[in-house]
Amino acid sequence: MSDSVLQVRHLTKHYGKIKALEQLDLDLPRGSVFGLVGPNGAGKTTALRIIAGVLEPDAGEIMIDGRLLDGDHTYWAAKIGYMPDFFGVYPDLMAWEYLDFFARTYRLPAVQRARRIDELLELVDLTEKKYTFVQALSRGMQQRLCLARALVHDPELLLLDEPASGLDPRARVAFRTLVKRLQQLGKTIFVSSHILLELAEICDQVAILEKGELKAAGTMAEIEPQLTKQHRTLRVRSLDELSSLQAFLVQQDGVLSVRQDGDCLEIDFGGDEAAIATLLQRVVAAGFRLLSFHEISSNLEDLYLQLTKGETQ
Amino acid sequence: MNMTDRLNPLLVKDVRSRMRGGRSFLMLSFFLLFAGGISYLVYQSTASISSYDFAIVSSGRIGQSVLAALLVTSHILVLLIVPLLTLNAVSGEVERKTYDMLLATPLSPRQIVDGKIGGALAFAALLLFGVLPLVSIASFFGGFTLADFGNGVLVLLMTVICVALLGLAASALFRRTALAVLVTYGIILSLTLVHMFVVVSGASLLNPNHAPPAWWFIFNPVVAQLNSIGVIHDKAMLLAGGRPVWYGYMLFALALSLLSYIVAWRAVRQRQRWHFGRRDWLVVVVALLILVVAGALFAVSGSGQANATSPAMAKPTPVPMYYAKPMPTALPGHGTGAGTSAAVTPLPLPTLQP
Repeated sequence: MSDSVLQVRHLTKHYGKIKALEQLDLDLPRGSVFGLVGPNGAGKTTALRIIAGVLEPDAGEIMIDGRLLDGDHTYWAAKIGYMPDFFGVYPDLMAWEYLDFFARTYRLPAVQRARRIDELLELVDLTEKKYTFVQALSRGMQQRLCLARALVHDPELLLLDEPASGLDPRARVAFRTLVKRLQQLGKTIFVSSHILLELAEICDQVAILEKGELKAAGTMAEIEPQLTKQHRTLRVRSLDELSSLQAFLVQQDGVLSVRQDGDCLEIDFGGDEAAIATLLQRVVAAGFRLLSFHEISSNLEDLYLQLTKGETQ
Repeated sequence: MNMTDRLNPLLVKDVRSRMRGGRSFLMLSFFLLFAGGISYLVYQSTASISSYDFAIVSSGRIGQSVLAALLVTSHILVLLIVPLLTLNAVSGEVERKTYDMLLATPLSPRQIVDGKIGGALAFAALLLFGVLPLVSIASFFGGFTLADFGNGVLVLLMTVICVALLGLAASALFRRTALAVLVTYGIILSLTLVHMFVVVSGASLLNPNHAPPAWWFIFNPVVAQLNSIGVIHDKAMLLAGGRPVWYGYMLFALALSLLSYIVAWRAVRQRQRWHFGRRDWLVVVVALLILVVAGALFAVSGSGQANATSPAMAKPTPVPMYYAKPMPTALPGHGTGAGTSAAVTPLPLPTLQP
């Protein structure tokens, strides 16, 4: 059996002229917690909906356990448990009936169904709420119930779209603990969020998505140099007019933007250390008298925020 | 795996949630009170004819009037209520944000449509079963045969299925309940009130001295219901081969139901954009064939019946409409019952006393 539970190749989806996903490639190692992070509109939900089989891609391939996503929806549905970002509940059902309905869709026999419902309610700590109407549960409880629903058929792969959104800090911690517990139970979990640090705590690997394109992917340790390569902040002080230096800088290769900060200029720069050296050479060659020229160190979250401007298309 | 495990999960869920709470109880109560109330009023007015006009009103005529009132009232209520049971079947899932979860299950689009329509029809069946005791009261007076009653129920059931599927198709296609409501009730209104207006005004414009051809009436469920129990019953309501108008309605409603089912089935799964494929063409061809066959059977009747006067176009007459068909009779308190009424000699029409 392959080491990757899920393989995504060249996944592309456009909504008219809007590019939701462009040539997305992903590999989810078996038993891992994999985070998909990006600002709103980056394409996370589109990617998860396609993988869950509820949306058709324009191009690309998805394989689970080496088998292509094709017409056999039943196979996929059995392998995947999907929890959407905005999930609803059926208000006139009790918690156990809600789970029973979904268990029936997977053709679980009555005895197995009843046992599974009890196990899941215990797992998500809702045993006492078994006979409570779903609309009477708190948001956090509904979230956990929805997670139990995604687990009702014991899937191999769990797709969780922004599972912690709308939860208070205590419920977020509880949810993270639950995700870790599911990983210990052998599940592979694909979780999306727009907050990198939220995923950093629970994910083995992370992929960063921006405007439908993959910006970086790997472990947290691997991600940082990738982000740094794509985005740095440089600070420059000069004896000359800052406006003329600013006008000169914006025309240089790798300079994304330049802004004035007191008596300094801050440069958003995309490039490696050699590119920084080249930029410095040009500034000096142009005759500007520099007092200082250095890179400002950024933490991972800053790098992520600078990389993903949160622009949707 | 036991029997209930084999049931469509959506049907089980719908029945569970629909039968719960006061809403169903209120709907059923309203349905029965309204149908019963109208029937009682019809009974009172029919019985009072004798006292006003010194006419002898047979028990059979009372029975038929009450049955007609029950079925027509039920029909109108069905037209109003049954679409409500399916109009949010799919759009409600989308609006409630449960649709993606439903699509991620192994349920096929056909199972989703079957489950949704099954849940709605189960509740509609409950409403109609509730009317049965009232029908038994009508049968106490006699005046109609089991065949009359069976025909009436057939037409009613066809309408239930048709409007339920129409609502489901609109819900699946538009994904917005408000739009689905607008379209579905627009179609129902077009087939009833607008249809009658068009038929009456169209006929008087085209040829004021002639009744409109019978096939014009096959689209109207209420006319078909009245026709099926013999309330509207004369030559103008006969299609080719002497078949009554409600036969045509049954075919029309069947074709519309089939089309609605396919639309719902194809529109319910959004993961693929609906490409009009070979299978869809096949369905359209089958639906059209049903209509063409219906047309071929009945369209000729237009010329054949041109000289007859339609009840819808008829001038007012002192004889009430329910006298149009000869009635079997029974004395009050000696009800012949539905099964025996056919053997009874029809009573002559009542005459006005000086």
